Amino acid sequence: MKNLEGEHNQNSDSVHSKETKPCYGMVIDLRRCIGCHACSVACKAENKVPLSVFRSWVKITERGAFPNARRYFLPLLCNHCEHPICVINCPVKASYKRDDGIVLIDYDKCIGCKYCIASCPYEIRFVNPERRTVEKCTFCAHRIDKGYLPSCVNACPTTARIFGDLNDPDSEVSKLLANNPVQVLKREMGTEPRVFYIGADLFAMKERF
Amino acid sequence: MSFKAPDLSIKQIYDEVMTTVLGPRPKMATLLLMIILAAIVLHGVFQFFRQSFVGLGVTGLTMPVYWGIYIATFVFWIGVAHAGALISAILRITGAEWKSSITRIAEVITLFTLPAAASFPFIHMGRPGLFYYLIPYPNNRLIWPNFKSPLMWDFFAISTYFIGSVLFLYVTLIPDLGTARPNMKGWRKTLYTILSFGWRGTAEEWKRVKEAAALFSVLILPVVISVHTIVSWDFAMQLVPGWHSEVFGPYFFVGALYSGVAAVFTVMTLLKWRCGFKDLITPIHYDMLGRVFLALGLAWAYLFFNDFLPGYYSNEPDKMAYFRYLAFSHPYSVLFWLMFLTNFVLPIACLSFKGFRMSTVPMFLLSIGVNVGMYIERVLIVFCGTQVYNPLARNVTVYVPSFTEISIVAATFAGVTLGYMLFIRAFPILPIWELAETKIRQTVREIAGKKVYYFKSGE
Repeated sequence: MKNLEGEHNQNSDSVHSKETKPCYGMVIDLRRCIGCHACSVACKAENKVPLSVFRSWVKITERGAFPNARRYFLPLLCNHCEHPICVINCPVKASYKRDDGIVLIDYDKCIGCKYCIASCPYEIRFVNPERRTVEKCTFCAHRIDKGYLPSCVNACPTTARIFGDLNDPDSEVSKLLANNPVQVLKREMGTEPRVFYIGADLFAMKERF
Repeated sequence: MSFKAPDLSIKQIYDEVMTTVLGPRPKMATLLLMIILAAIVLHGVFQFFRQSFVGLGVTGLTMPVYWGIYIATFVFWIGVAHAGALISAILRITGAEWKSSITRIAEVITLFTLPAAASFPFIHMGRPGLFYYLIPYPNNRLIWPNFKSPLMWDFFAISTYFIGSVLFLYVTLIPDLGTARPNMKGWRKTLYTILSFGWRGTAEEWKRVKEAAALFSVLILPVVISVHTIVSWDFAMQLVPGWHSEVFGPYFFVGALYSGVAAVFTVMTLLKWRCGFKDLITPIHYDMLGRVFLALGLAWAYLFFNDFLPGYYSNEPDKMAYFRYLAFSHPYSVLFWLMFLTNFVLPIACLSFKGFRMSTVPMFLLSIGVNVGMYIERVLIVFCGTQVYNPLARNVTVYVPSFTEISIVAATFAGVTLGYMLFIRAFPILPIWELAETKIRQTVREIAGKKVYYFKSGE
């Protein structure tokens, strides 16, 4: 992950890929999240997401009665699962998983059958009303390939979103995962998500709003 | 009362069946109905092109429900399409003598409902022009279908079933076409000449037709079972709580047969009323098919409760949330209990009585009721699975089908009806040769002063 965000180094990139392939993941530290929606806005701006649909958003739940009341935030995005149901289900192989673990959609292949939308447990996919194909969060793969951080990570004012290589023990995500109790969404679905939450609230993960 | 062949000579059977084809021109009311149906179909086609042009925004599909009424209607039509192959095949295999009046009625239902069903996945697609990406043919664009996807299995199952059932219908139609050909005039003469494939009625040809019919009856059974199981796997293979149910394979299959038999009753009664097959479609047929109907109703009820009871007993949270949503939430509870009434309470209660089974009008109404119930069942499974499903959903919009969706769905209903009306003007809707054969094979014997009818097996 040294090659991300300005610290790009030709040598480290090639040496690193020889040792282990990168496996990108994200840790969302909800102790720091203030629910400002900067990530949602940055994502929309970066990816030209049309009106009425979102690739990333923040679910907000309120609990308790005054004075013991609090808001809980849960930023949601594609989990880039180890076992992505959407990829298995896509009839034309438009959804695919890259070697670095990022799940992407080939917009030229997608026929818009929406099977992946129906099968995704995280309800992260949607039909782009302009392109008529399915779309979702890509971890900003186009930025990662150039050595930049995803747009939402870049925009987060409290650095609640931390992005990095899970295979690199020195990366910040690896350190956070090693030193904190973490949760994932819908563990019971067996998808093994690569987006981890620190301090996620049980009710925010379960409740409808 | 046991079954006996109609008290008509073979000539009379021929004449009675061919009245729909050679009879007087249809009345103005019939023509008007056909024009209205054609208009509905054309409007549906127009709406489909509009949807393709404007985008899926014209549908009500939005988060979290992206599989809407198109898919529900798809499953419903597939179910009704099961009427044909099952009734013909199973009744042929079990040697039920009363089948002759029913087989082709059922097979023609398949002929029209299956294309209606198969059109929906394409209508539902965001980019229907690219449907050929599903076809595995070698190409230079590196496009190859994903055989792990249940949707791909659907594609193969439905196309196999359609080809199989069309061939089945056609093979049993050939002798009738050959027999009727000399009496035809005009375009019907040309059509029958081409389609009868040079049928002369030699012993060798009869042998082949019978062998082919027997072979198709056996071969189509696994296809029938697999088709609807695969349709159910579209849902059951997913982790959506309302969908992820191990019992869905048999549940969908039995439900399909249930709605299929109901559709046969509806069509049979209409034919009896409109085309005057009073001697050929008798209360005995209603009774016999009514018993099949009752058995399927009981099987459906068994699997319906089996779907919910394990989840209820173990208080499985997701399944219970789904059940509560179905049974007690505002928009769907009415539909759920209506389905419960028309699919379980009414049929089981009514069909248990022979008097009910043998009466035409109540059976007609019940058959429509069951199909309404089955449609609701499909709707509930498809919508509610995703509607109730997700605590992570950004949106809790209740899905309501838009005008576009409803007009396209209506177009398929109109199209199936119109297709059926045209078919009975062009081809004999009852298999004349099978009716004649039953008649010939029937012998009477007096036992203790009572006449007993039985049927010689034989060639």
